Amino acid sequence: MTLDEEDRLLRLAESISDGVAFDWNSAGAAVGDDALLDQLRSLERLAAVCRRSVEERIPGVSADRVAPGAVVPPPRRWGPLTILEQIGRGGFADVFRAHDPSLDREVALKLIHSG
Amino acid sequence: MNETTSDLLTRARAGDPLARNQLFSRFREPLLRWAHGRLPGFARDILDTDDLVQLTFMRTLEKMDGFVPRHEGAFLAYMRMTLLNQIRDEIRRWRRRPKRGDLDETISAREASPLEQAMGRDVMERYERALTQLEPDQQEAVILRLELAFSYEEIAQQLERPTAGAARLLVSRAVARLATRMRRLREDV
Repeated sequence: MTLDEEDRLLRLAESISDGVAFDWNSAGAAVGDDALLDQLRSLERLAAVCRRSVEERIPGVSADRVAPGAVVPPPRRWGPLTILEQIGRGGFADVFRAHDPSLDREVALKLIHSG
Repeated sequence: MNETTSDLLTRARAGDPLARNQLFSRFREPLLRWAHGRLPGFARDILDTDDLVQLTFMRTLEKMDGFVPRHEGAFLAYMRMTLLNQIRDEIRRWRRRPKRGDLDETISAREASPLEQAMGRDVMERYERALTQLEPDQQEAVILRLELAFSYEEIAQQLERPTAGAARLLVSRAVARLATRMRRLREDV
């Protein structure tokens, strides 16, 4: 592959990464390699399918993306209960280990997600 | 200030439940979205995606004694690979189950994930194989951008690149190399 073809390949890869539509017919002439172009088309399709999947509303997953690195702290108290730690997380609820002062023992607390 | 993934992993392995929960909160959402598109039809009927992600996360923590992530994105890519293996295990288990007559006619369709149905199994196998032939940074860049649809700003943060532009260049070069590897693998068949 010549330097010029490598540069065109990189431009096509950039368009796929950016999710930008482009004319595949002219792209074929630019790269000059139909087999390679097939693989690029596959990657473009894969990215599009995954993007749709990521944007899809999934039960139990917030529609708003939680920023990577964000920490969701558990509540400290719930009514008379003191929450000790989170022990489970499901699609619809979180489960915590908590202390009940009236029973003077540990209990499990299940909190349904809001929304 | 948020703790690094590496610090949280160290504490989680030492048995700190708070660190375990913080780690899980940090990565649950992108992994859930990823797994949603990868689970075959039959598995979505019998498995809660959230349970699968949670189970895989706990198992990964138990097994990954020697793993030290170079950055945030490395742990996410590691978890993605573990989840993929877990889903493949579920498919193998499904294939070994006792057969029940006419229900089996729909098996192959139900074994395919939405992604496989859209892409074709051979393309996905070639993609996965070619992905393993890239440098770790490039693998993570492809996974974060193409599979998880992270923004370039997020990728820069996850893979410790100075700017979104630097992350974009990393992804683009990785995609170009991936396509070249896939082409070579197709020629080898």
